[in-house]
Amino acid sequence: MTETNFRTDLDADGVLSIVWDMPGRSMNVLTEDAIRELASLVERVASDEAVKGAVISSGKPGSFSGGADLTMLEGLARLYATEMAKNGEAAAAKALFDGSRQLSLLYRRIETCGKPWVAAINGVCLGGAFELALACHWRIASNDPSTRVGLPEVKVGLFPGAGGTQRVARLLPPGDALQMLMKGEQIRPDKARGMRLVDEVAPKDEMLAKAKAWIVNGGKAVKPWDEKGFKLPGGPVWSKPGFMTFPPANAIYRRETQDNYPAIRAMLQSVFDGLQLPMDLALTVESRQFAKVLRSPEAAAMIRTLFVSMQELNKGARRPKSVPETKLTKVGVVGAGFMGAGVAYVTAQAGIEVILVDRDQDAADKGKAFAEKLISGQVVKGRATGAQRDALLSKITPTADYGALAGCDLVVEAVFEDPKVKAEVIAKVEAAIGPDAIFASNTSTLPISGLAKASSRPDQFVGIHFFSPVEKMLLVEVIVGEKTGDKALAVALDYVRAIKKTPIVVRDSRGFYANRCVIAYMLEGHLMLSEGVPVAMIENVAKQAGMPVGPLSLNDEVALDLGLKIIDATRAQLGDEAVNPAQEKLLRALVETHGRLGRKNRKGFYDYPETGKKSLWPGLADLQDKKLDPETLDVTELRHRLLVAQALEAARTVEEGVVTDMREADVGAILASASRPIPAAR
Amino acid sequence: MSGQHDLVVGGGVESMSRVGLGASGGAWPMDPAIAIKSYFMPQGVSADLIATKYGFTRDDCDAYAVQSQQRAGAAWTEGRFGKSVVPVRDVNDIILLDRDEHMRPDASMQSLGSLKASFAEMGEMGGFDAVATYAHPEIERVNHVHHAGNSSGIVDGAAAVLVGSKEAGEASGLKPRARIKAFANIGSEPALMLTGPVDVTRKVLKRAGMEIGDIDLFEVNEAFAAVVLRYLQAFGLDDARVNVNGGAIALGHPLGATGAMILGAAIDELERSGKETALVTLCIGAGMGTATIIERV
Repeated sequence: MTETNFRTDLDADGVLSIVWDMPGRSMNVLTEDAIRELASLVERVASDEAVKGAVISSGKPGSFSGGADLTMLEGLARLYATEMAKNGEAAAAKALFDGSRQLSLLYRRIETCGKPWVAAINGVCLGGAFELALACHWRIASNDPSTRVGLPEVKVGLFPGAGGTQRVARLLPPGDALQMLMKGEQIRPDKARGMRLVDEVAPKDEMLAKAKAWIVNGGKAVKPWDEKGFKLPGGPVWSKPGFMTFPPANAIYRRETQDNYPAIRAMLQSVFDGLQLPMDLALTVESRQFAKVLRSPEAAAMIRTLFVSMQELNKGARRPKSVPETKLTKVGVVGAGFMGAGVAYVTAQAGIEVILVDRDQDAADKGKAFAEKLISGQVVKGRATGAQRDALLSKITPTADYGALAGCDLVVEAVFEDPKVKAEVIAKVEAAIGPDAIFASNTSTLPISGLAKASSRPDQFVGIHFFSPVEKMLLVEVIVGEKTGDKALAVALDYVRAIKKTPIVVRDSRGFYANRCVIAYMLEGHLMLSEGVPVAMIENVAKQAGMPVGPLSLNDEVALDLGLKIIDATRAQLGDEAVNPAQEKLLRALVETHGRLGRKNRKGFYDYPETGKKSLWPGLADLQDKKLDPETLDVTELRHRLLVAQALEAARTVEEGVVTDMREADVGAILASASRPIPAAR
Repeated sequence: MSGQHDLVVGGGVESMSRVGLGASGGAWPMDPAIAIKSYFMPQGVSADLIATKYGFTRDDCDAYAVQSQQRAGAAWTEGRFGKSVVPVRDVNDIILLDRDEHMRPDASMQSLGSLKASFAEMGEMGGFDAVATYAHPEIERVNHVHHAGNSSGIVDGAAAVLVGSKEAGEASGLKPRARIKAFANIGSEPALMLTGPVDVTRKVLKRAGMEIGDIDLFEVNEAFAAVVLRYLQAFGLDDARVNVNGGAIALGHPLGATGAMILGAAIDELERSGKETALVTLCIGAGMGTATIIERV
């Protein structure tokens, strides 16, 4: 059989070099075809006497493989559905179990085929591809800056189900293994070697020679765990170290996930059970858990939202196709406050030149200083180099001179939320920029069509709404005003793609999309408080419902007086009926009677001491006319209220045509409330 | 077990100095399939959760512990345990031990105040505080109030009681000291874990056709101060009727022996005081409770 996805070459020493290089793709991915071909190669290595061992590497520059093609799971889902219809649930479950463990069995075959396999890793090697490497008898990684290994499956509601949990937990002590599996991080080569996830790190061009040499010099084709007398690195499960590991791991699972992530729970169970069994049985246990997770609605939803839809939006699903792509080279940011400085930072990070304008040099310099603080923090944490910091900072030019904006492809305005101030800025900017440049307003409260009235070219006027903190939040709302043209929309989307954020395109309306959901969430929290639900219970059930922060904490971050301003504006525009009296009473008492504005003055729903943790303000109890007994409250109902309030508001935005694409409603709702869509274990 | 034997010895021997806590293993804390569902927490964190949920402060718990020590000290001085203490002797019949070693009758609010909460770090670092607030979400954070001085002592001990039918006793020429009126076991909320005495007391009183006011004397095992404080609170009890000669905070809690020990202590006290009825109850790890009502004969 000749392979189309792999190239092979048998050298004089009998080492079969297998180069994974899929045609028509920039990165290798585990597809059904690729797996079938790999399986036949494994049998060739096992049976051909001329072959002493195999080295698998990638023919793609900068990457080994990103892992399995998640659309393969659709095939499994079809198999399950067909069996279910034909032979019932038990047969369907069995078919899914058998089907979903093919990769696991193939990798086990590599491990036990009797001949040594080496994985030579350059670039990213993730998920199912890293599980392949883990099944090999020796792993060598290049020290190239692009090289990363990891098992990020938990990020899409799955877990490493092709032996990953068992091999990692036999290489690392169980506590470290669980942490690595729960975080799903991408790991640099040196760190991976320290963890024993790879055996050696070498320069890219020496890697293959070293891999072959390992085989020629008698590299062993038996894994430690398949030898007699193997001892787990952290000792047996039932031991003092085991007792120090698993009870806290179970508790930390609940703390970090609120028991909302069946994949992480299944992974924990696989490690616990698997470490008490020999390898083949351990892999079977892992497969059972994997099949169960594949059947979970959580996995299906996470794959849909965080993988399929998010990728489609990131690739510009909503971009007008008629407009040629703009490669942005110079972007202006007007207003060097917290938001503007954040925008300047993420723009410079994308390698784009930034002109950062404020009313005087001092204010503009402060904005750049903020960017410097952010990138320096990254350097301290080892996430960026000194050279990267210098390169980023050299891209930002702070100035008070609007004239410097000449030649910008796009100018993003992030000045004070006052139509008069914005109108002045629009006039000054338009006087400076070229006729093709696009003007974008980063507003969260003012309608774009209204602001565009101050523009001399409203078709080149668009809204780009960032979320705070800009450097962390992945979501950007692109707002289409009445007169916004296709070119403006396309440039805005090209820009968002360049800075690696996820855009949703929304129609101009009060609060746009994401903030309306957030506001509905906070309102529900306020109403619960007014009804007499114990305050801590509101915050805790919100987290149990999957929200990253409780509605009251969130309100403290946003500021309580802002909430009151929104109420005033709502009344002015829509009348008394549009204002909830219980919410207004609560916020007026907090802001006007007690001077509690939120985190900004260290007094909100919480008290924020100079040092130590925030704690709920005891005075809140006095703002409740009655107190409900927690034992009489239905926790599930409270959780549902906090979610349904948001879902209902989202449905209204769809009804009103603010959001037209369900992928955007879905992804936007998730990303608006979290800087990272899945929890990570500390 | 009840009715199947004519005469049985009930009791236990515990050597906590030799076999540490948690040494028995078991799936409950370890296996995710059990631990996650049952909200496993170390008992001390559950005890701190009880204190937080029902509003007992560190001072409340310390004051209770001081009282337990003072009562136990006074009881020893007056010889109230005389009938039940069996000295330990060496191979030559020389006495090695003839009194409780764990007591600190001079304990005070000041001396207890200097002790560090034992379960704060475990609760925070081990994730168990989050399990507590998940199970009881009306709590903002767990107030860690328990420490070595207001929790039961980790000690060695042994105790036994003889239980039998009237006929068997008479045939052996034994004189009964008390009659078992009713007993019951119960499963209780596993996260709070140690509130079983409250639930099982309600159950056993109902079975006996009695009310809380019908009981003259209570022995509520002092696993942690908050366990007894919650018991007092739940029934609105005056502590003059509860653990009148101290309890496990002063005397220690040699797990397997404690049931027989406090049953014996209740009988001794009924005889000494001339009262009629006692209720003996203990909490049990993982969320259970057991209670027995006895009458002096």
